[in-house]
Amino acid sequence: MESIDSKTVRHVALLSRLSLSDKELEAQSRQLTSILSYISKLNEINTDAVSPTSHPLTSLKNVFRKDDLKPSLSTDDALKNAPAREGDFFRVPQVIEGK
Amino acid sequence: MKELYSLSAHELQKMIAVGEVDPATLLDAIFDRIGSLDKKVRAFALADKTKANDRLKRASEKKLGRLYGIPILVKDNICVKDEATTCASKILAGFRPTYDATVIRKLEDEGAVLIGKANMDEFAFGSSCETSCYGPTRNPWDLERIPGGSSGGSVAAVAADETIAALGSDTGGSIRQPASLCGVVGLKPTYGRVSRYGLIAFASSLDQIGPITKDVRDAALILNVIAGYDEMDSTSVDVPVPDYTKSLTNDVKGLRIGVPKEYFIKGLDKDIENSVKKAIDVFKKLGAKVSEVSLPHTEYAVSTYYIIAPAEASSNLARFDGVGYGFRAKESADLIDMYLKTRSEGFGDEAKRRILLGTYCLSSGYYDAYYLKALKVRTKIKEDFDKAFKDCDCIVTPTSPTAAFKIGERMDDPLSMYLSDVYTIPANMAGIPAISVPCGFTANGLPIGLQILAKAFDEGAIFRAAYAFEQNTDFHLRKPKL
Amino acid sequence: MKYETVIGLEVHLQLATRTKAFCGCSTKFGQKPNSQTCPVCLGFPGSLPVLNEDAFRFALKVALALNCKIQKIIKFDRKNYYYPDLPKNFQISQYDMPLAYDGVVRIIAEGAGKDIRLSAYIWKKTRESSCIRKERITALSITTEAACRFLR
Repeated sequence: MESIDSKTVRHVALLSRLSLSDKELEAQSRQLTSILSYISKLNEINTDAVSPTSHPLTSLKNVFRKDDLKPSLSTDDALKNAPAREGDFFRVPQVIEGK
Repeated sequence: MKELYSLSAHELQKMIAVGEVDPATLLDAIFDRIGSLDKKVRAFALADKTKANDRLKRASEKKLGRLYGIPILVKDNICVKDEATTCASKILAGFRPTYDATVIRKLEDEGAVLIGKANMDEFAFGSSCETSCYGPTRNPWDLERIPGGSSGGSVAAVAADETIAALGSDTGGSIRQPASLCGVVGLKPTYGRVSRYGLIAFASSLDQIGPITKDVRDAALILNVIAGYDEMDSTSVDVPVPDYTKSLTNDVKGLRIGVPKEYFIKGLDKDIENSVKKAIDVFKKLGAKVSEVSLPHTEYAVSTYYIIAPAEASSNLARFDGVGYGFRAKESADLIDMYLKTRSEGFGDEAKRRILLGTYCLSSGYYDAYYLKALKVRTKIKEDFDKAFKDCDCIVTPTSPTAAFKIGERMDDPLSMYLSDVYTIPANMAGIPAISVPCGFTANGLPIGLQILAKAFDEGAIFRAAYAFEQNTDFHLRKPKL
Repeated sequence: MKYETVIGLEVHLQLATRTKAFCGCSTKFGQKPNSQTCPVCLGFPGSLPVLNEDAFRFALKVALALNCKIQKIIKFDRKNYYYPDLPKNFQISQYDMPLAYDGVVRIIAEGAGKDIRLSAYIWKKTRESSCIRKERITALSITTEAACRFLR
């Protein structure tokens, strides 16, 4: 497993909608490299014939909800935590500036 | 005459039932204690005496439940309707959920009184309670030291008698590790035993809510109430909830205890090793059968966890974007600018680090090498336990490799912080239950914890072992000088 | 330069359930904005999805009608991207273990019969409406192989 350079960190930051200052970028790259280097221990184990465990529950059972109506929130409750509201809508900045 | 705030829930339950203690007086005593101590301990993100009294009033108006009048503190990542719930993060500033978490509803149905929200590491990312946006909680045994994390506030409050009991959450040790560092009892139930509905998710396949208490009986009492199937949580398991207090027999004759050789290695503090070995002797004297077991993939647990947990977290935290709730950055040029500014200003460094690490491990080209690989090693870790539990009922280990370290000591070295979870992570990987109980003190008076693990849904074996150990020692009776 | 046109189809079916894919809110069209929502479909912190049984049954029926083989174990995956009408900034979808595969429909094209192979997966789709937060309806996505090729 490789170490992680600043260019990659910037790309990953954009994927996760984070913007980092140059100072933060340097610190995060350094710390992530150290962590990834430790994590590369996993290469010591042969897992070719092993199936992955995404969750620890041993007996899988189908879990469904009946198609029955449940009460919804009032519009006010749905919007009461919204940083910006316009009537019954959540308000957000336009997708692209000037368009 | 003991102070009311220093008693346990089961003691108070009896006294309230016969009218010897008035729950309102108890609540006053707790809030007086909070008022005099919390400037030093800083366990609380939110404490509201008026609201607590209202909750007591509502509890008194209906049939009195199993936890009637008992003050409980909940970690700030558990949703309480209309109460600030922030996960100790700026990005959730002002967020008031429109609903109660299932565990809150269950506690209140039994008459428990919520007294506030506990400080924690931001989004549960941490083992020291230092990444909170409110500043660190202090260890009541030494105010210059960390209480552990991420449920640091819940644990410190119980240790300092600022609450009778608390709820925390545990993803890689966040209940057990601080419990061991502060000399209290902390239980992580089997995955699926307690509903996660209303727990703000960190890592969905690892998270569990659990009790933090002054003694083992209290943990059993609270688990009795919060455990159980919930149709709002697809990962909640429909297995009946036994009366866990029936396992408190103080009898471990014939109980098979396994001690994994891989846990006694370099990096384990000598005082801790000695305390745990003495604890194992106590079990032997009480008639338990102790033998060595092997968990060969223990050394890979931290690496596996620090791929899986951040990967899941990076996805779970994507929703914090300034659109529907919480903090939104001012003056954004457009939508993407708003996302970038909000998340960059709203999250702390450790949160950003885990989001970056998780996103990287899941990204195209790296998914197989990291995330898929980690899921396969997780299978090996689980298989280790399946094999070991063929020959024993419980496994006993140290909870933490060191006692509480000084505030600030590990903040510049995240990897050294991550390594404090080495003994607690495997239980979350395998989904099995585990408890930490006090088992000694270091030479300089810091608490040491003993971890007891059992098979999935066998919390009964854990309670049986933990209670017997507790009743034949007195570590749980010592309190910090505050 | 010669180009070959290759066309496959991805067809989105809205499944006619009373309630949404993962919560009990109504799917009734044309209501006031944000009036049929709850913590689950709004992606409020701490909320969890629970799959609609009828959505699953309807999807199975369609898959069988299209002569598909049904996977013994299916998995839901998260497709992570950021957009304001996606409250959790991920979509619950299916990636590598979808509901159904190796299905086939026979069409008549240019006077001859032609088999189109397809697969089907369940996902939570946003339905067009006037709301900024759109409805989380269960959809079945039916994806064909490259069905038509034209050389010009």
